[in-house]
Amino acid sequence: MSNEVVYNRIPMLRAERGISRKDLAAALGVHYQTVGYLERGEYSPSLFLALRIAEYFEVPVEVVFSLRPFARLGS
Amino acid sequence: MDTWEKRRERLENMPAGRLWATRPARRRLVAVAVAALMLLWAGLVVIARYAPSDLARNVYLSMFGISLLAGLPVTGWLHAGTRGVLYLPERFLDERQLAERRRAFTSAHRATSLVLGSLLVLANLWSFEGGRLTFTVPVALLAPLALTLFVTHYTTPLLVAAWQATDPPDDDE
Repeated sequence: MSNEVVYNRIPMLRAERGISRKDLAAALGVHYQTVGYLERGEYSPSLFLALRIAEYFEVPVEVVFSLRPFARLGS
Repeated sequence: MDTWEKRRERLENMPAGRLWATRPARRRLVAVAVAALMLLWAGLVVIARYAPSDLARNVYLSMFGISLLAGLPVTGWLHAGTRGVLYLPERFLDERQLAERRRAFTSAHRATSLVLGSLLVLANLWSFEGGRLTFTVPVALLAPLALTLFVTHYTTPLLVAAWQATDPPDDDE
């Protein structure tokens, strides 16, 4: 099961809204390194955490997470 | 702020957390901790072979002292390097850290089972040396054996967690 990859747009959403990793981690109640691991794709969140992240950014969960790589902007 | 919150704060701000953050650095620390642990096990061999004698006592106490001097700070640094994954109570850990902790405990359980199994085999081989079941175990061996088993049991999950942990992301990119 180690090749199960969940792609995410957390770095993009975070940059877009000017939120630091530590601020996001504090809002989600996780360690700030966990946000880093999520962004690097080295950790796939539980459904609960994925939903909380989507709720925090006020977007549907599929905007943040995908089983396929996200298309590059402008492509 | 309760005691554990203070401890977590202290752990997060320990310079060792950054100093030993990378995988190669952390693995070097693990190697030192394993060497300190091996020294304790080697001390048991000294007692088994030479106790009761002043030589056995002096050599064992020297080995124990070196192991303690090296092992205690290294254990603290490893806790800092792993961000307290095996030190803090579960309520301070998030889902990734809890998964890391469970993985470490599972691997450590396998490792300590191997150690205890090997000890069982060795004890049996030793018992049957010379084709007889009668052999003398120095009483001096009991307390150091219990201590060594305890230290092995306590440190193995930490060593596994420190060995397995990947490089942490930068604080903020």
